[in-house]
Amino acid sequence: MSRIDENELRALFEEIEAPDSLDRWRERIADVHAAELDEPPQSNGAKVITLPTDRELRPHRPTKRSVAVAAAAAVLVGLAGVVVTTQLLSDAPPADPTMIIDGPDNNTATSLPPPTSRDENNSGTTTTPPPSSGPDQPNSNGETPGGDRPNDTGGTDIPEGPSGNEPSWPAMVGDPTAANTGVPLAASLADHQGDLRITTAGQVVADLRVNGSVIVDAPNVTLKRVQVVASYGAPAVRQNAANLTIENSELSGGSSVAQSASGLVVRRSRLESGVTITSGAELYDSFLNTADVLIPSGANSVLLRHSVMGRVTMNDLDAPIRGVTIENSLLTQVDAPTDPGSASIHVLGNRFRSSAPSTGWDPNATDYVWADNTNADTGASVHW
Amino acid sequence: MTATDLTEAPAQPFEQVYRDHAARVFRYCLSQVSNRGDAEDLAADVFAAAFHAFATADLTPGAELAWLLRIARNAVIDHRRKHTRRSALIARFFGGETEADPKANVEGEVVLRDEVRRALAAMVHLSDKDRVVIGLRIAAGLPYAEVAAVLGVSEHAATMACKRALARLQRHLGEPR
Repeated sequence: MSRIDENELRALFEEIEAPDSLDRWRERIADVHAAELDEPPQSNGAKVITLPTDRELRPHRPTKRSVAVAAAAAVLVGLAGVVVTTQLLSDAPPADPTMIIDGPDNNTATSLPPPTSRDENNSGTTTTPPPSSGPDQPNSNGETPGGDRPNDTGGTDIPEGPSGNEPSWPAMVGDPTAANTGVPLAASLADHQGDLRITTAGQVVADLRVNGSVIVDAPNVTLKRVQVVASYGAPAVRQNAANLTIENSELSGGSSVAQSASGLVVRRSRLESGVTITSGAELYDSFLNTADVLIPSGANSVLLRHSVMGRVTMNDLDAPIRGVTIENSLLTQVDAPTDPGSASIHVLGNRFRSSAPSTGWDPNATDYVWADNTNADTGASVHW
Repeated sequence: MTATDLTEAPAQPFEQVYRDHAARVFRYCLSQVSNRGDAEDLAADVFAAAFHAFATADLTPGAELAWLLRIARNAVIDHRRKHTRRSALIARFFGGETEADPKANVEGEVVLRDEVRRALAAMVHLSDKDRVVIGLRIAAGLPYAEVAAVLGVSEHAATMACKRALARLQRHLGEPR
């Protein structure tokens, strides 16, 4: 086994049966007064564990265990007190039940009360991305997702949203930062407490602050100028349906985006907690700071362009990954896929903050291209 | 736990938990100590401890394996602590190879497939953290979400930890033996 095949190794371990000697655990049960267990509990005819009758098989002393139990109880009481105190002192408002957006009008933001000084002109602003089969596939608007080239300032010439009075950012200059990504300063956001579930295809949700998660259960949804603060551990946006577009938004939570359906376009957004993205994902002009990007097994056609991020980990333990392009970005490291079936991994024109820019990179793998990458501090060319 | 508590314990469910998960817990223990005898002892300890805690564990259905593996993880830590102390004493007073020599243990194991023995031999060169991650993912066969639950980290972090641990294991497997 010169090369690890995770599935093969797991299958080999699965062949290992539990030995009969494992049954010895019954002999190790401490403090069992067998005489008091002569009448086992009635359990509807179910088989009951036979406990040992020999007291000499009991290795533990009851006194020590009692002390340990008392100590554990004291710790639990203390922890419970901390939790209760934290809850009481928290100034976060209680979460509302999940709101479901499933009305017939798919071009309005939400049924929430409008914010003050908010531009209500959302009509006709839906920008539904097409199912993306690759970074160079044209979309229904005649644009080429990922086809737009970096401009002279280092940003990309991506339309900043529909024309009109919608708050937007000026053209990006230099790297994406916390100061030039996310919700534009002129935007005014309504508040929503609790999770927001979107069930209407083509829905546009705009100018909203969500204290909970956004769960997208319908295709072709757009989130614009949305600030999401998810509960601890929960993803800010959970994408369960195809073709989600996120623009000028700020997402934080256990992860910023958990993509589980194909087609995702993120533009000029601040993703503070890392993302899990898969097939058809495109990320432009976005700021993750040092948060990581995880591309899971089986992903294909992923584009990361002109963004700032930590590690990009391509995990092909369960299935190969194909067609990932990372370009013109500032990042820490690329963890390349190592499965023989993985192919077409392009790392082009990036700046790396780490002296070890990659792990697992195999220059002989199919269509692995590493070109024009430099060290962010010195500008020197870096190799895998 | 008193005898009265034990009589009230749901004996049948624990028996079922044992039957369902004995093999995976054993495989995890084996991956951590690389010695079949020690792994059997450890796994037996895990189920003995689990039996005592089961009645009050308030487990949700489906969470039993992650719970057992958390117990196993702690049992392995205890085992290593004791084992290291004992091996150091043996080496000090009697000289020669210590009990802790992992290769000697693995080479003495003839029941396991060669690939598994090689993987176990390579795993002893990994950090404890890497070994735990690989034990959970490969030996116990957990999905990433459950690895994350056992380790108390996000699924994202667990996935990356697995990936890196496997890359490091690969390096050790690739070295000349």
